[in-house]
Amino acid sequence: MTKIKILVVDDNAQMRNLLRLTFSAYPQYIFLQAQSGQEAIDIIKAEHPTIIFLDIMMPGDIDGLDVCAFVKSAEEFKSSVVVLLSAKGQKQDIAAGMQAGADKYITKPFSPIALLDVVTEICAMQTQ
Amino acid sequence: MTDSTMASEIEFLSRENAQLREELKKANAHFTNITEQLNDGIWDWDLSDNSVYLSPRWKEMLGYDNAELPNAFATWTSLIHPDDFAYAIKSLEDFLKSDHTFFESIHRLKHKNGRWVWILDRGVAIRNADNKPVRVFGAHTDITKLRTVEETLMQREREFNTIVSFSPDGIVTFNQENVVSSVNPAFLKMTGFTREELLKLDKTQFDQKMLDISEPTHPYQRHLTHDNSQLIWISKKDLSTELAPPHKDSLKFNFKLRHSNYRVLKMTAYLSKDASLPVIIYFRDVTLEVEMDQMKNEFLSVAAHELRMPISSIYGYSELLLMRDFDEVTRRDILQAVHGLCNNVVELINQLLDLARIEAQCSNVFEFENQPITKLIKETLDNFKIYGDFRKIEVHYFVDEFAQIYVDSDQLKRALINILSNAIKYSPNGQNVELEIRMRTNSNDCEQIGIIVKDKGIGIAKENLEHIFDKFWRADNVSDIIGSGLGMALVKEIVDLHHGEIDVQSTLGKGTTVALWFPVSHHLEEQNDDKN
Repeated sequence: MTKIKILVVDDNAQMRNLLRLTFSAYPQYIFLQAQSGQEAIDIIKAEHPTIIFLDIMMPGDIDGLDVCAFVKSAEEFKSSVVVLLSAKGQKQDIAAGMQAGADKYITKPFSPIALLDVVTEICAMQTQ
Repeated sequence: MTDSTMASEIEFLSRENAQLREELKKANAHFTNITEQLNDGIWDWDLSDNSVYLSPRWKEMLGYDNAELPNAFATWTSLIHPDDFAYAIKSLEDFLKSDHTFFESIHRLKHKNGRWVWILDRGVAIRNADNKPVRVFGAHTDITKLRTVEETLMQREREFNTIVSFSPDGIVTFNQENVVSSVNPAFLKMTGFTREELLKLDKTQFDQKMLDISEPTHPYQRHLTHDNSQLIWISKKDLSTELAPPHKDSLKFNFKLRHSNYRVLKMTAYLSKDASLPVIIYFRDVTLEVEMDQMKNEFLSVAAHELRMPISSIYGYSELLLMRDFDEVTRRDILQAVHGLCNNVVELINQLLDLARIEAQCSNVFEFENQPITKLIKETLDNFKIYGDFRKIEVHYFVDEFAQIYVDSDQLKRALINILSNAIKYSPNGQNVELEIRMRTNSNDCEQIGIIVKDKGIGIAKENLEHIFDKFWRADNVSDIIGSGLGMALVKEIVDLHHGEIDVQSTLGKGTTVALWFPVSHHLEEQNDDKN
């Protein structure tokens, strides 16, 4: 069974912990986490994660949209699926996310169980 | 001639005489009737014997009966207002010397009751072959009412002009031909135009001028909306004069005007249905209102975001607890996290409400009184506890125990609790926190009592110090320490409220010292007395 690397990028520790717990029951997922845009890019370069859950608003120079644009503009990371996970839910926020190349946009609060279904779905599409 | 013919002749003559008398009487009555109807007083001056006739109406106009004033030239001259005397006499003399037929002058005559009556005096001269006047007669018309109306009008116009020129709102008027007829100083200041370049412009040219100075992103609209108003954005770089600083009290908020390189004018056109009235356009500077509005919206959206963050985690954790079986240790950890997050939300809401309350500055919310500083500090520390932290705060007093400050004690305690809990939260290394109370005289010679909190925690980077009072701002080295980003904003509001000062010194990795300085009692009392 191939393991799937999931990277969670969020400056909020509780949010990262919640997602870690969510995936912890499934041994097929390898959980990676980053608390800033810069850290995320470093991990992406080193680990080539399959799925990236990205918060948008993070302190520092690189926000979630920048990370998303970086992934989608680089040939070697393009195939990674980027899911934006943001508390910003306005139409223009979602449009900006899609503009940056995101595959999916989920607003907070979200259901962790539903998130697992999203991951299953993505994995199914990847293997096709 | 016989006696009989003589008698009949006499009879005829006397009949004719009677008839003439009758006619004269009729003519007189007719004349009186006309003059009465005209409401004018008649005067008649025979220069051959210098006799003067003044009609009863002439005298009545000045409050006299016919018998009370003699029919004489001196009657007129004795009643002329001293200020008008020279002018009235000279204009009559000039007229007599001239070859003119008609004469006119306006002067005041004294009424019997002492008030002054404005008289329009119009006369006609009958001149002999040498052009010398032999008789002059004319009429007096009482124009006091007219003069009063005229003076009222002039007074009104002066008042109106003063209002328009001192108005903080810009005002531009157009005449019936749709040409700019007036612009007030406020409008010139708002737009940077000069009066000369605007007067005589027609509406199309005026519109073009406004379009030229308005921002391309918010262009000036030639055609107004249904309520005849629009907002105009003007770039400040075009303005020769600076924005008048908004009233000090309107800037209670620790906000910066971020978009202040624009001036926003609200333009309202007053178009009357009566075509004879001028079109008036008002311009109100609403820059501050627009900025406040934007900041309020930004604040609300950030506040909503900050509230949604912990709630998102609580939502997710509780769903996992419901849907999945965890071992006892993990379950406890999750509940612990949920509990902490709930605290976080409560703290955030409380601080938001405190901030809103202080910013509203309702004076009845605060209760200022003289309090011994030592008592306030002790009461604060007695109730100060951070969940799961057992560190003691060392207190050093460098003031005598009776030193008093004039404060709202609840607010002062709130500020102190905020800086104490920051000192502990941001010293995860377990180092102790020190509290010092001292006095100083500041640069304005004002005696102050300082509450100084020193920690040996993570510190604040130099470039971040300027942001610590921004709402929701949190440094990037706070990592996982829970906080709302509102604490220091709140502390700043409280210190401002007390006319105090805040000093923050910090070295990254070494620790932070926050000093809150409050004026010593007697100074503040004086300040408040001045205000009252």
